[in-house]
Amino acid sequence: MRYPPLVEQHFERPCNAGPLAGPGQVLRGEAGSPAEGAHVLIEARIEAGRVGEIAFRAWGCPWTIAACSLATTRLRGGEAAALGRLDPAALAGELGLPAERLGRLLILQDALRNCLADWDTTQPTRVGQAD
Amino acid sequence: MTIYLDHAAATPVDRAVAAAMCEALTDPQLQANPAATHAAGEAARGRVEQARAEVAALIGAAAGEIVWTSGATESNNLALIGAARLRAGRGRHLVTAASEHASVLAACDELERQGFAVTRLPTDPMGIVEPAVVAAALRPDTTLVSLMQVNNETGVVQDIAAIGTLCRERGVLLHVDAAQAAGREAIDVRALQVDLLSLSAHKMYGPKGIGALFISRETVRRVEPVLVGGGQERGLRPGTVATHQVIGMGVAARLAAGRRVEDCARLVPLREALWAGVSRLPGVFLNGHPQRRACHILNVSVAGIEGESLLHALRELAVSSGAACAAESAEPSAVLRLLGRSPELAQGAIRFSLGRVTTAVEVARAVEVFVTGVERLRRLAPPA
Repeated sequence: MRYPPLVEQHFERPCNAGPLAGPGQVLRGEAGSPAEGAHVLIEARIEAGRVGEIAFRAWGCPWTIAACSLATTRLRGGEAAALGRLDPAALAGELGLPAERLGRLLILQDALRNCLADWDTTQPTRVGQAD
Repeated sequence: MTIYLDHAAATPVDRAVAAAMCEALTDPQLQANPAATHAAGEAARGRVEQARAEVAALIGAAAGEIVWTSGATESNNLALIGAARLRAGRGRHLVTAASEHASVLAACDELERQGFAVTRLPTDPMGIVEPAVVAAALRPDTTLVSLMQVNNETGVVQDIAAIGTLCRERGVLLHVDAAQAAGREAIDVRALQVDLLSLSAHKMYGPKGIGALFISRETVRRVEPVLVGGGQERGLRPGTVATHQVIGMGVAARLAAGRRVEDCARLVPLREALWAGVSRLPGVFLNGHPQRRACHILNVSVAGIEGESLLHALRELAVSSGAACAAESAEPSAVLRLLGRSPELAQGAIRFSLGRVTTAVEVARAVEVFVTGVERLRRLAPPA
């Protein structure tokens, strides 16, 4: 099967792949399973309300791996709340993802939201959020 | 440069085959319709009949028992539908295996829609359909058993001789899809007691688009045609015979008969070297019986990896995936599920199939690509 150049690039040399190492609290968000076609684990370290570090691990097709790589690249350095605002349709358009594979991006979206939820549970109030 | 390890899907056309086909396409003496009664037609017909004899010789048949088709898919359709319909008055039950090629299973589906009953036998965890299981499935109204000699996914070889004996004892016809067996396994339709047998040229270094069906003149004599039209091939397969195609298949059959033992003696050590190399990694499992398999196929399941990514990581190799992953709704290989493989292992499978052009250097490189690709994707995967 042939993939668009952007997918090839991120499949061959994925960014932010692997476990997140180093000191400090690591937030985790996981979604999917092999039975669902993809399994994604997101790890992030939030610093002053922003995504200081982010990494992914994925079991899935090349589209899934490329989507994880591209999405985490975009999220790194941004505000933490953006973890919950991934737009699967926009990412699908950017990657040239076939419509029947959109479910893979929903799994990535769930993993990112679960990561954000993990952070929320550790914060009395979200940084930047009014009391 | 891609390393071609997909000979179970299609073999490269042998140069001698291509040369014979080119000659047939350019020789002014061979351009007539081989059904024509004039001298030019007779010339073409002579070459067609020579090719028929060459294909017959490959399987121990008589030339008059060979009917040209477009390939094993059409042969399987003609054998199952044609024989079942002609014998509908005697019985309307067929036996096959759930691990058969789609063209057999789809023909069975069609017969069921026409009121026939079909028993689809499971395999054991090694991919074997035991003769005793076949015997137990036979009913008084069974008219036909259809089983492949060599499984196209796993390479597992069935005991056709034993199944042939029991079918003959019970007066049931035996059809064998031998598309993968031709040129790899010994085929003698008399010794195996086979009544119908399907072949494809492109699995044995011949051209695509041509195949043959053996129809025993002793036990079957004729089947009901599936296509209607002219009276070619004794009315069993109407349509102008493609002279250059059948000449190509004839040469391919002659070469297959002459080279089978030598080819297999060379391929078995290469296949074993491939297995030894890929199985150095943990979580790599052989699919199918470790001994009872054809010389050219190695099918492995890889734990912890998604099949489509595995196939893409191995794109330097032309191999097939056990994963039917082109569509969201696609299921993992039914053949591997029959072996008891989990959905995860069934979708993470790779079929390597070797051929005459495969070298030891290519096998060594294939191992290197496989090990590198699997290790990289496993590092990417989350803990199970």
